[in-house]
Amino acid sequence: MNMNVDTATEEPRARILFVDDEPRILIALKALFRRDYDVVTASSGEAALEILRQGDVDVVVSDQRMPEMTGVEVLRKAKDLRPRAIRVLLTGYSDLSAILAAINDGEIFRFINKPWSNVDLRSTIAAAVKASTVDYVKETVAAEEDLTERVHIPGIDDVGTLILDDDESTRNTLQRVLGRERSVYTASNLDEALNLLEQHKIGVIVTEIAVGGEVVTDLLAALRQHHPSLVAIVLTAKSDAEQGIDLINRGQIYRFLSKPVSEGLLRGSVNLAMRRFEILQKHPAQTLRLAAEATPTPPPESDRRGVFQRIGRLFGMTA
Amino acid sequence: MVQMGVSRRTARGFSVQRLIALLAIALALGVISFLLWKTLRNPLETGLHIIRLEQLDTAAKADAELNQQIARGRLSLDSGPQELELSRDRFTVAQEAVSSGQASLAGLAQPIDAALAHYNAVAQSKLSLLNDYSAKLARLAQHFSVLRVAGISLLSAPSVNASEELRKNVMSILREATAYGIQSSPTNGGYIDDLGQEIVAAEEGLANDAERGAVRHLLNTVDSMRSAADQLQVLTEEFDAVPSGPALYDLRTAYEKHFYNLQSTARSYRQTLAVYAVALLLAFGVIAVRLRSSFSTLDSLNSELQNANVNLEQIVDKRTQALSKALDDLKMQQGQLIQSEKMASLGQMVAGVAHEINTPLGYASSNVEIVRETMQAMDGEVDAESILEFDTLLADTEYGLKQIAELVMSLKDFSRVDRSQSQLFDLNEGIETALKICNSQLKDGVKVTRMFADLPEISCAPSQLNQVFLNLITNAAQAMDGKGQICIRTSVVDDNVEVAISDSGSGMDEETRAHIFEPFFTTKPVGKGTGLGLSIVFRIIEDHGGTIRVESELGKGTEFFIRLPIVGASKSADVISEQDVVVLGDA
Repeated sequence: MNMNVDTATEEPRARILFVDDEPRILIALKALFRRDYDVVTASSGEAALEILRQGDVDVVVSDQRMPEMTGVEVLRKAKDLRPRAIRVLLTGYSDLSAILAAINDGEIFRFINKPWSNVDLRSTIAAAVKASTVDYVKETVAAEEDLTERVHIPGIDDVGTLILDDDESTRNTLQRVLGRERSVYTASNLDEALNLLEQHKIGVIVTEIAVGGEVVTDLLAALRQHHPSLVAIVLTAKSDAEQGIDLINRGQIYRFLSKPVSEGLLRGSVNLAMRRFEILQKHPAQTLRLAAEATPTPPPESDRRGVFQRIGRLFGMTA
Repeated sequence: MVQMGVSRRTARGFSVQRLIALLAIALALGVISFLLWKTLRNPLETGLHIIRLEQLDTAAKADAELNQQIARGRLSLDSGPQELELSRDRFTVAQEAVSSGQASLAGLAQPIDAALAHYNAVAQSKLSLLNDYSAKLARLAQHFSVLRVAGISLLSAPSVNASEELRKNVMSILREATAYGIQSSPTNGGYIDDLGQEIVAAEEGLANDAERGAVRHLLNTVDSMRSAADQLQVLTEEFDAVPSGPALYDLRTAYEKHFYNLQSTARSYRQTLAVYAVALLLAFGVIAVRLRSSFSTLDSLNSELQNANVNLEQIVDKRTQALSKALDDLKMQQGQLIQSEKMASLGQMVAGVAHEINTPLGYASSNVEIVRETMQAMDGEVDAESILEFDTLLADTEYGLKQIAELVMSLKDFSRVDRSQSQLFDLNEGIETALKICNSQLKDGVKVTRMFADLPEISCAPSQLNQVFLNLITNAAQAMDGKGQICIRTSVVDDNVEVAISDSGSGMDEETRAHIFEPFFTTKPVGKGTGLGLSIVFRIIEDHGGTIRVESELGKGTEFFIRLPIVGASKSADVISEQDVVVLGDA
């Protein structure tokens, strides 16, 4: 266990915990960040959890592949121990299941590949530190409310769910499964989705990765920028590690589900997402915790049908 | 029996069946030869039989002749016993022939032997009687001649001549005595006695004693002759009582009976033979009929078999074709499996390698950056020349590390570990990745020209298309032998994306070009290439709904053209139609 507490500075500095089984990584990171932050390092998952138990930490950065405990596990437990701490995965290689777990269980802020660029890493850590300043508001777990037995009550549950998928049977199935509880809108392409977002109050979007030959990452990134309280769930048959990483870093999606998904998991996920939306609505500052990587504004010619301009227009006012 | 052997077609043991058939044939032959032997032996018997019958006839004739001679013996006293001797000899010869000759009757059968013994005994007694008879006959002849001499001398006596009456009486007694000797049953004995009385009475009148003596001598002689004739008569009667004729007849009867028995036996054999032969013929007929029907059955079976053979050949041909097609498919699938296994294990390896390399790469490049920053802060403390040198060294280090990072990234991109099988993909990217991967094979002499157009992303399996590009680029490099130009052009043609990969290599002839997409076709030496590369390329492109064609000129180079549809190509790869594929019910 490496524990270095720098107490020289006067103003309280952000405390960052780096976890990696390779000590040279820890040395390098410490060298990189010790001037700006209070850097703590741990060479194993267990050591990291011990540090978290002993004191508060603002940001946790962990490697994925470690003996005994994986990075995702460490981050999941860190989430329970210190929910305020922002979680980042920094890894040389990560398989798809780890990425899915990082999204769904770890609810991580960023996924960074080794080797990293110092400049990028610095800005990411800075963003994480900034996000960590907002305290985490937990979903008020309405005690033992049976989520699956809920019935849609018009007027009260007037926040809708948008389903975006180009496969009709998928849309129908999802509408059938989710429509008992709340309003469900379906769209088969981006235009339809945008129209529905304009016309209705929508809290959760359930989408396939690619719709009508277009990847939705850009859409989700734009929505993250302009409609930060909208909670996104990706439900796809084409699970893809790289796109998963992209969806974390740029889209800050809430859940990444693989088809086929069990009905219970789907409804539970949507309900949780709806709670999340309500919290984000109630506490707009919480959206800072979900600050995504800024997507460079796409050049006009590649912005097909002006989708992103439209998003800007649409949510520039509302957000 | 033979039939049995044939008819038991269904008998279990073929050897047992054959054994039974052979035994039956042997038995049938044995029976027929036995019957033939029994039947054919008869002519020999028949030859003997004729001789025997002749001998019996001869014996009967000899017997009769002998009887006749005996009866005539007294009539031919003058001629002597030659005739009788001859007859006796003939009788003896005939009797010997019958009883002990070459064709004798002895030993044929028990009744014949008994009859023969009887006959021999009778013949023997007859012969012994014949001896007595001959002696008696000789005596009679002697007495007769004495009587004649005595008579003549008496008649010539003067006193006899003188007395007419005496003379007449002497003459009469001579005559009567002669008749008595000749006749078998004389009735004139009394008359001879009377005449003797008269002659004795007349004796007184004779002149001298000599004459009287002569008369006495005559009378005595007459008496002797009479007694000899009587004895002879007795013998003759005895002779006649000897039953040589009946004995011979019995013998003949016995023999004929025996012969008849033999004949009837032979006849019965012959009948049996005939019946048997007929039976055999019938059997053969039946066999022949059966054989005939068997043959016709065989013929029809044969023709059926031939038809079946022809059909079978056709079926076998079809099956063989199907099998070889299946084999080809299997080989193809095996090849693909090997390929995908290779890719899978490559992916796993890449995953490990990426992590293991990226970790040191991470701190190394980070450290270099930090050092560089620190260097800038140290400005002034170290002389400018050293700083410049450090700067260069750090730049080189950074460059090297970046190269390593790029290679790892390319490997990852190429293997597409954890990437969706089907996704939107920019082919230009895939080509770049492939080029990086096979960079080592592109020697210095090979110049790669990229003429990339902006391509829309197409829905495809990127890892598979990467393989395609890698394969084609590798082939191009190998075709050029280290020197030449590879040109890769991408463009959008109608609703398709086209990738053209050309090389300035050896090219190929018409023949080769016709086969390059077939599995296991290779121009490389054995062991160098699997011959699967282009066939897999072909299959991948086909699966994507695209086309691949090749233009080539020997000595000038080869160009591959790939066209892939922009929309909806791999829709079938992961079509979601079932609801439960989207959402599973809670179990």
